[in-house]
Amino acid sequence: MRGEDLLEAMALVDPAYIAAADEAPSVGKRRWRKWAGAAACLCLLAAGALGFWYAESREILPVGDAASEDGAAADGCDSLSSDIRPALLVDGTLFYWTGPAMAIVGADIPGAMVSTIATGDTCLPEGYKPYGEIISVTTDPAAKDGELTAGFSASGTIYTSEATPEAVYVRMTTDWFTHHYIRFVSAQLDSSCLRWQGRDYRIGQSAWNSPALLWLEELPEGYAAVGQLHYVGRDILPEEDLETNGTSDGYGYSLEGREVYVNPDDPEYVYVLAPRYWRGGQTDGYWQCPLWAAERE
Amino acid sequence: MEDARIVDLYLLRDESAIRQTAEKYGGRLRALSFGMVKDWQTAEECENDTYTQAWNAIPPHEPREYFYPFLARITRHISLNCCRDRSRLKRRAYLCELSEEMEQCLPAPGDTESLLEGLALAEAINTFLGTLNEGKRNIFLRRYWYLDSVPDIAQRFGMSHSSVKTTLLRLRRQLRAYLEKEGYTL
Repeated sequence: MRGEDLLEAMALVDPAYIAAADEAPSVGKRRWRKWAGAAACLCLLAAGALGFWYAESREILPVGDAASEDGAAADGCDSLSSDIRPALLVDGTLFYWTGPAMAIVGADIPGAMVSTIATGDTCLPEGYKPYGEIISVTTDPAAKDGELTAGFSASGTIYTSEATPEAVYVRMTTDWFTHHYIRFVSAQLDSSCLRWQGRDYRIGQSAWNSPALLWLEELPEGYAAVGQLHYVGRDILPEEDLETNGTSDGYGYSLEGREVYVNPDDPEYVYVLAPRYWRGGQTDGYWQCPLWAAERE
Repeated sequence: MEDARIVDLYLLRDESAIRQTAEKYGGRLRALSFGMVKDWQTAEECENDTYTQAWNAIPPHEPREYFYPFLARITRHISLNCCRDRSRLKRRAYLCELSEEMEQCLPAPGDTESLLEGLALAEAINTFLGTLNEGKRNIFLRRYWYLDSVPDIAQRFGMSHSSVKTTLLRLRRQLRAYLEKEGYTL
């Protein structure tokens, strides 16, 4: 019975892990792959000896230097490796990659698995229009509009929207990753937040390297309920009190309507009701949401 | 159709949401259920029950970003219950086998109360899974979330049966050690 309970408790595994485990394995250890890899190398050598057209065809893609040097572009996404967080310069603003982590396998970046599932959109949100192409890829800080900082090869079309200027999307046309829209966000939108009295507090999904929110079973003294969260859209910076752009919690449940608690004497934190679910029911608890930005730039 | 739009249909109480869900995920959910109940008719019933429960659960839930895991979790729960309730499925023995394996992860016998502070346990399992590399995590989840057989896992990951068994054994020991470290003992 105890083992069966543990088997039941497995139901509460992070949805990101569940979805990842259901995808076709990308890094299989199938023996035929070794031979396929060797055959591919031989083919490449033969092609190189035959003429220049192959080299010319590679130049069609604006392949990044780092990816070319480590051979990643020829081998596929699972051999790409970089500890550089991709960022795209658009109209003088840097937008940070929130897309799949498979391009950066080996980077050992917390939250990478979450990114793999949470994004990778197959549809472009309404209102987005073509802005231009990724003009080049560099491992240095991007200096020109349309330039991408990354440690791997990439190409694609950039889409922007006047209504939601904090997020841009790129339809990838890279050889190892295509037909998906990758969401890039401004530094301000790098973590979902909630708005309270002119300040932004981090909530829910963590930013690239930010720690997970502290979860408490009991509310600290001095905190009182002030109202419920209202979701305004993930690409929108909340403007009014109690608005949030956080979509859901770790269980996939909406943040809409969650109770918010504040203490006027402690502006460093607000707390949000965060029930934890299990097969026997649920237990109330609270996320400690730290101050994300006292003022917006 | 995009997941978020399907969820919006549920929120609007538009019954086409179920058709859209079935078109997009019906096959995967049925296959997931079949892997547990090993009976296509029952799997189809579990799939249909999943739609009903999703209809009842959205709202209040809005699983826009985790729609498939949300559905899969429902299917898994329904399918496990089916295995328990319907002895004719002869899957009870398989569940017992898996339960016994999971039992090996528990630090101390007879400690149901302290161990099953469900949420804390789920947290601990999630944290433990976060310490594993993707390959091992997926093997563990294929076995204990999707309830795949060892041969199926071996085929999926291109490994030998013994290699899968050894990996699972080590992972169970690691989980047990982790739970002990986290204070799950008498």
